[in-house]
Amino acid sequence: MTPKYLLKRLGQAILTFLVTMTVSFLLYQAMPGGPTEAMRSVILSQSGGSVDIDRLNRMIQLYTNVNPDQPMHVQYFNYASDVILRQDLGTSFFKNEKVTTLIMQRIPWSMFISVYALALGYSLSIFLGVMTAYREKSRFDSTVSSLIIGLNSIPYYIVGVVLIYFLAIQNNYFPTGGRIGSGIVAGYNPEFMLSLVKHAALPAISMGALATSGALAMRGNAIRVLGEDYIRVAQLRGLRETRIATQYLGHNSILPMYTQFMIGIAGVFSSAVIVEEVFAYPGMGLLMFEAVKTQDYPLLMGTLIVFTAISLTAIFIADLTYTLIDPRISVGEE
Amino acid sequence: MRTSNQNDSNPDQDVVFEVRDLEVTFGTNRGESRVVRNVDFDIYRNETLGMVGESGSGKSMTSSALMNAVVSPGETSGEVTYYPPDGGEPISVLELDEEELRKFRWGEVAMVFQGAMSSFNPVKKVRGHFKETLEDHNRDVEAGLERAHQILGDLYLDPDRVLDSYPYELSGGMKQRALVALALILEPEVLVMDEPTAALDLLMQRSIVSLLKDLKEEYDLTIIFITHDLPLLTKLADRLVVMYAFDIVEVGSTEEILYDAAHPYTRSLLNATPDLNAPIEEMQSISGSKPDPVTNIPGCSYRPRCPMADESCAEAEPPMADRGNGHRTACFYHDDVSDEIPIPAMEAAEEGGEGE
Repeated sequence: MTPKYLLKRLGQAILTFLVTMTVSFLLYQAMPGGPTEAMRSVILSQSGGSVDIDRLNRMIQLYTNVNPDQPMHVQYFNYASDVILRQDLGTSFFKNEKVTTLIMQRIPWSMFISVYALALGYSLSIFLGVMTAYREKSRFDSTVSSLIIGLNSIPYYIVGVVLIYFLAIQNNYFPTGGRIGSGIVAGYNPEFMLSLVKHAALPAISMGALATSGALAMRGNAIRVLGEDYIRVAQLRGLRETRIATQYLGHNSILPMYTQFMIGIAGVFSSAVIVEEVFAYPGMGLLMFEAVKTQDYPLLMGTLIVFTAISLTAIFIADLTYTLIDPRISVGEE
Repeated sequence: MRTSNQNDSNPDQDVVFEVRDLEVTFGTNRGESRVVRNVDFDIYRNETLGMVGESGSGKSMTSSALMNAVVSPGETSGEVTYYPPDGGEPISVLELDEEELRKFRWGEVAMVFQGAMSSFNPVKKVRGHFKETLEDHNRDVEAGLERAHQILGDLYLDPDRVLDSYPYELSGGMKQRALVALALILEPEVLVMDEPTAALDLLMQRSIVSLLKDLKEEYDLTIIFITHDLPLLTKLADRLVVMYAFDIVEVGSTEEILYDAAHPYTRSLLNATPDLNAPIEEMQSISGSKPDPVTNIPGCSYRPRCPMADESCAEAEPPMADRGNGHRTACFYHDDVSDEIPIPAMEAAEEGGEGE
């Protein structure tokens, strides 16, 4: 991996980030009832119409980092420099707190269920993919494959609702929502840990259902790899079955899916918006959802920018680590 | 001497593999496909046995059966008995359970086959292949890797460079030789080589063949060499097995087969071998097409293509006739074959030889 390649990829990531930020900024501004309008109406309704226009504009600038008097490009420039240079995403209209503070409070919770979901979804995808390939055309294969196709045809939020109905309402195995049981002291004690896992389980399972779409692709790859000469030679060499299944079949089947898996991180993370609403799980997604409902533009922009940054980071890491799992990909050689 | 078998006419030889009534079948939607039919033969210790025959004659399947490695859904039946060196208990290969079979493979019999280019895991270094093989057979890894160094050196490779490479970083010839080294790492008794030179250029083929001769001496190997390349085999093999239509039609020492072939197919095969010394008009291809594994030809399987065939060939399958010195052939008219199907190239060579 050459520094030149690293810089090039980093540059591409930053460029993508800037483009996304610009486009979303412009879209929000162009929307009827855009951020400044929304802000103006909020303040006016709160103060009963007795605010002078200069004070109003100052307040709007304070909250949104955007001065409605300035031309659009100056507004954009100010906003962008605040985001990039000062990591300041403005202040939420309704929560009256810095957007960055709000996001920072929520992000570990979203990370928690997303990582939980990804670990669940991907390990299940890989495991089921390899198992169905081993037993191609058996009853096990057709059952599992149909189940996965079915699961992927059902939107993940419906899976969430069904899970709540059966596992939380009909039976009391899991809580219906929230991220921690009431009256439990935070810290390294078993009750807290258990409560944490129990609350995260259902959202993670419904998001993980989204990630199992990899199982069918994995199955296809594994069937192809099973026909490779090196698998037969490994069997002739008397290697242990577990070694062949993991280091030969598993590893080589994952290769074409690695980037897809990394991009999937972004997908799972953004599914948090709906899932967290369904489970009333106060993470980033719920924050964004509330921002949409209340037309809290600074918060909406902020969450969007953070989601973009996470996706780009995941793809960037995938690019850089590809060579670790497949030595034939030589990063940066032309 | 373990030479209880009725077919062995060479009682001085120490047998390493005894194959009896070997059958390999595949169920297809056209019916049962029998790709190895009723094959009997012995492999002697420290010999080089050559197997020839056209594509799809059952050579690879027969050799796979030695390790009970016929790919599923193939069914192998019959008896394959392996005699370990120094008088150990004979092993019935087809009756081994999974774990015993795993240990048996590569430890006793190793195989190098056509796909050397793709025989290595592309994401693992060559060293990893040696190491995992040693580990999974519970051998001393350090001593094993030392031996790997030595074998790779014997094969004219730079051991450290090869071991530290990924398979894609090696050329075809290097990979082929690395695979031979990998086959020898556990010091097997028998090395099966299934068209190991098919994908290599002529020069590399010849150099691998000469390396094999040296390796055989150095590591006391029994080599089974499968190929379509008859001229190559004559330089390498002590004995030849000729397969046609999923069964053995002739067995004998290389000399016998070359100069006194007594099966019409073998003679036609010799006539079909390209030779720069022989004029092109003397080269004859064998007319007709090769048999289908699903259909059963009653009587002699070569009958439809044989110029000597008559009614008796259709009535019964010719038994293996003994011609002495371990030379056996499955033809009713084995005494007349040399007159009916002359081999001009051989006769020319013999005449030339007599003239000197």
